[in-house]
Amino acid sequence: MTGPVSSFDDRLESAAALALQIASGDLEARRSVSNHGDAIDALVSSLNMLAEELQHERKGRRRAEEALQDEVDAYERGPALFCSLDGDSLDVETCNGTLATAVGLPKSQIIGRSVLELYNPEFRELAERWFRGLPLSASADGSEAHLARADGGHVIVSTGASRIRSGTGRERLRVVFRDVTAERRLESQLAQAQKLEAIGRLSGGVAHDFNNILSVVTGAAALLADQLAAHSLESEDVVLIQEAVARGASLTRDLLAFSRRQASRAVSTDVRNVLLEAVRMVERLVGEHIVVTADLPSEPLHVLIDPSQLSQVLINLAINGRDAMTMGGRLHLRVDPIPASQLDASATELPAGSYARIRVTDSGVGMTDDVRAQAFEPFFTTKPAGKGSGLGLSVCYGIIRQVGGRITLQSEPGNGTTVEMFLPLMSGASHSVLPSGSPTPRGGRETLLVVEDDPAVCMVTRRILERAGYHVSSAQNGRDALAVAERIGYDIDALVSDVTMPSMGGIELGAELRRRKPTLRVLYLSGYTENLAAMAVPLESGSDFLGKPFTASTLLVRVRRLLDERAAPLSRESMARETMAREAHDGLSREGPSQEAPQPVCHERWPPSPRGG
Amino acid sequence: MRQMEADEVQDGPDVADVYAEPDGTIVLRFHHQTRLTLDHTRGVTRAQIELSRGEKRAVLADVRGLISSDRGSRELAAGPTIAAVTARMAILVGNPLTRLIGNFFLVVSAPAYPTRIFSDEVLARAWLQEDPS
Repeated sequence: MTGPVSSFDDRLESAAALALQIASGDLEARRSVSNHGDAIDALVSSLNMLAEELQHERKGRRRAEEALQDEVDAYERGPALFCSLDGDSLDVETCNGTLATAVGLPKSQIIGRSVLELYNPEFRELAERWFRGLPLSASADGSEAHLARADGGHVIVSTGASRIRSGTGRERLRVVFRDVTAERRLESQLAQAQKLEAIGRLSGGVAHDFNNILSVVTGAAALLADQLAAHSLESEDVVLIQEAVARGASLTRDLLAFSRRQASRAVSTDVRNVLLEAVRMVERLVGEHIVVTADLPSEPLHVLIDPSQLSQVLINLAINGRDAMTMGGRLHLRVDPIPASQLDASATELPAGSYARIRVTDSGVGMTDDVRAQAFEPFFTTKPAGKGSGLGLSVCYGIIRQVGGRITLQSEPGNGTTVEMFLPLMSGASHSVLPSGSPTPRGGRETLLVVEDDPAVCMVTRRILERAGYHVSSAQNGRDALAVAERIGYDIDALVSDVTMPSMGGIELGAELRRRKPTLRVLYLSGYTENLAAMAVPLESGSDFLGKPFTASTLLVRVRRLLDERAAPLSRESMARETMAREAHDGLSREGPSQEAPQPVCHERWPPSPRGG
Repeated sequence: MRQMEADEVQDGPDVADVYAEPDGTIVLRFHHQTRLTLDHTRGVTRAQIELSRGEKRAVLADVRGLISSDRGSRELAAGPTIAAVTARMAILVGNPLTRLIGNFFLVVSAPAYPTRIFSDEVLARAWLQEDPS
């Protein structure tokens, strides 16, 4: 503030200068008032107070402007899609930036046009009826609709609107759209997954019952073959029966794989090795007009999976790719480690963790949206009749999901197809190999107890074993089996039991009998069982599993091997594990997969350099 | 400080004498060459409220000694705090400067109670004693 000025003219000039400063916008300017108390002092004082008032007004205005700008920003860039319409013509008068961004158009191409032009054509009539039917001073929520995007896509929106009368008397509509595209996509994915799950359960149930039937047919055929002269016409007929059963078994195996109920031997598997084997097989399968390449990491990637099932997946995908490239093309297989820090859990819908990502990409004809939506459904195929069962991708889906992974498919007409799979990585480097070869079936003199709730399967199984020399007792459920065992003093060398039976299943029965006879061996039979790894039952000494349908020779080989493994009584740990398995089967608890391989560890093959890339 | 009766006088701030008269009128006499700030006015306000004892009183505000008053003091004086203890206020002015200060208060700050500006104390007191109806 400038100090007091002495002469009247100077004081007046000072007051004038103050007025000029205030007028030019300098509202900080002030002059000191002298103690004359006269009109000049009054003038200067009034100018000081005027500047003070203007300063206060300016601050208030700035705060109001900032608040207004915040409101404008919230309107313009908030999550909702806003617009206002002329109440008669439904032309867009204003809209916010979010709406413009959602439909991919600048505001200049939205304002002045009818709001109906924003909709996909099939929604326009309904939208117009709804907007025009909205009464004055009423608000309402409409049904969902699709707004067309400039890039050809669409946005799914729910709509709310109110009709008001403006100050000029004109009616207007205030409209807010809510983008629900992401929600509907998630719902669709969930529905699809549930549908596949339901189909899987149905398929698994059918396959299970069918396996029992096939067991009877193949068992009886084997018994019949024993009584016929080799190379006779009748024996050739029996061979036809057995071959037909094998084809039927293959079909049920695929159905069970889709329903994730296929018995499997999941072990720690280096994906690279399986991929390499698969590439070699695929090269032979697809023909020379298709170039097969692969990209593999230098470090091992271990996942808990049956290597034969993973190979099956890769072969199935390669066959699909081959069939999509009738004029030749390129098939590329690639596997990458995806550490937990790089996983986009929300995009992949996978639990946090590290994964091996396998991609199989072809340059074929691609799929339309409709075909892609049904690609994983069992029995769905675009191939001519007789050229495919329609189970290939379904099997892949079941196998990958069974091990806790995820499989997706991206495809566009003319742009090929990429199938992407995520498999949970595990630590550990053990890699077991199932024993190969075909041992000669042998019989024996031991005492066996066969338990099977299907009378025909029970009878055939018993006859096969008795024909081989075993002393066989049988029962059709667990409770009866316990009674039989007690009657013969628990003098049983091995239990051959179906897993899934009413009231008492095979696992519970095995545990009960082992309490009385710790040296008892158990062969579990089933065509309808969960992944044994999930049951936390490593197939250690003393127990084994045989999937249905089985041939007579396979049954005899497995029983003989089981009996020949007999050694010390089962440890408390083994019995405790069986108890855990029983509880898991009953759904009471569930243990994670065992890290220990059931077989001795083999050294890993180092993969050669991949071809191409 | 002018003292009428001991229990009717409040120690005002340095800028004014604040006291109550036997008829209940509250008097605020601002000292010579006072540049009134918000802090000063808070002090005066506290004194006035204390003397009012919860009742609305007639107030004689002698501003003939003011040289200036800031916006904060004007807003407080015109606001609801003073309005709660003021039935009406007569502002006594003496020169063009103080008349300007009074007019600014009356017009711009617009107090929430009846207010008039006088240059004669007798007339001011007479108005304060008038029946409001």
